[in-house]
Amino acid sequence: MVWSRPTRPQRVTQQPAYILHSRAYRDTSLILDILSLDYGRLSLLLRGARGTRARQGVLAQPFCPFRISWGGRNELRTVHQLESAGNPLQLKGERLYSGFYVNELLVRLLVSEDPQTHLFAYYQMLLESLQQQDEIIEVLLRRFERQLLGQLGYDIVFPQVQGSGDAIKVLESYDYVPLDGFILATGPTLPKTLRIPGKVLLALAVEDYQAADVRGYAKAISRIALARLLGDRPLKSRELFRTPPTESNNTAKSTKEGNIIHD
Amino acid sequence: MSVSFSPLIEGMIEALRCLPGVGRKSAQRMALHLLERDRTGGTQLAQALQQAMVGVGRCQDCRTHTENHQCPLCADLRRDDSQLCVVETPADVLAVEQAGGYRGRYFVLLGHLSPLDGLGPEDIGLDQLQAQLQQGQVRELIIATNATVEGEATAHYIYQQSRVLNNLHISRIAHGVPLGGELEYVDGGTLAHAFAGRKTWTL
Repeated sequence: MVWSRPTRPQRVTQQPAYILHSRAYRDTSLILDILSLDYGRLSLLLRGARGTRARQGVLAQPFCPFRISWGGRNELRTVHQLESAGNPLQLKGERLYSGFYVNELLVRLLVSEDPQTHLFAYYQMLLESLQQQDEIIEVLLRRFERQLLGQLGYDIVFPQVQGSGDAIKVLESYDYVPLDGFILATGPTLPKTLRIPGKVLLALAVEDYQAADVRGYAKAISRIALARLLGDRPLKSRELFRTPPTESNNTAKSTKEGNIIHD
Repeated sequence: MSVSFSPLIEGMIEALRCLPGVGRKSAQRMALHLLERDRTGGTQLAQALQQAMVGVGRCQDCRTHTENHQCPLCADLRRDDSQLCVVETPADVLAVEQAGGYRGRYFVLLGHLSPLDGLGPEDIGLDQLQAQLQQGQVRELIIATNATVEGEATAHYIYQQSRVLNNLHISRIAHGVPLGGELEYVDGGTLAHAFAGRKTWTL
């Protein structure tokens, strides 16, 4: 049997999408990296988007909802139409950096043109909550990281909350081992593993991020889980969070979190 | 490809492909043009490239490209040392200069914060900017990065790191309706900015 390449639709119209990243191409074009509802992440060529004679009106910027139509036979498809589908989000400061962080995660982790059923909705929800400012950034990011890992098939599996012998024992501790999940801790802590109190694990399992130490552990777990997928190249957007702290307690908090991993 | 040019020509074609937007075909066309029709021009190009690649460095003050320790703008004693304008590219310096009205100094980032392009704070010299501001000569810092998401992130980062300095007034260039622009055709985001940043009418 001859294996044939799955055919790609020649023309896609009015596809809801977000721009994750854009880079200049030739004098007036942009190559866009987008996250679309039905086609996942892909790269598109947008002509005539820069320069003095660029059409004003619609600005191809990240964190704005768009409806994009594209087509073409080349590997790199061309944008026919780029329509704004709502107001651009006004993300500022750390919320903007968080947006960059998430975009970097998506560009690094998503395979091109591999649609993920719920990811677009999760991303949209994340951006909207980042904009609204009622929830702490950390909680939003942890939730999204878990959703993303789940979509990629690397769910963080927690022991059952209630029920049979597997249930989390609040008074015990657990070791997080990336491939195996959480294992009831016995003996001394091994290098490169994370030991978590049962109480914290229970909160994590039900996504209750109210306590600061729970958030600290959640961050450490995400980091370990993501590090396996990201490989050796570190995420550049993390550098942005290393600015002189806005509030004095910020530094204390982040160093504490950094120390949780014993490596 | 079975048929190819001799090694020297092939090498030249490969080398020309490093230019942005130049693929195999264009590179071949350029190479053949230089060989067939414009050998003097080709030699000049080679010399100019050679000299510039070896000689051009960064200005010690504003980071823009120059072959001297200081660029002409930084070396100009008539400029106002108390104002510093941060821009993304040397082309932006030119744009501001042509617009006129600004007599202070510049700081050229040669980029903007863009984690996805691998550009972090130190890659665009923000540590050097901070060191310069700490010397205390600058009274006003004008952040003139682009009105893009990355430009905005860069502006915010600079603001965050320099707000701790005393006696420094930090401003951001205004965004809004272009001169001669009609509101109807201005996009929503820009119009929202123009409204948020409206100014009290003064004469």
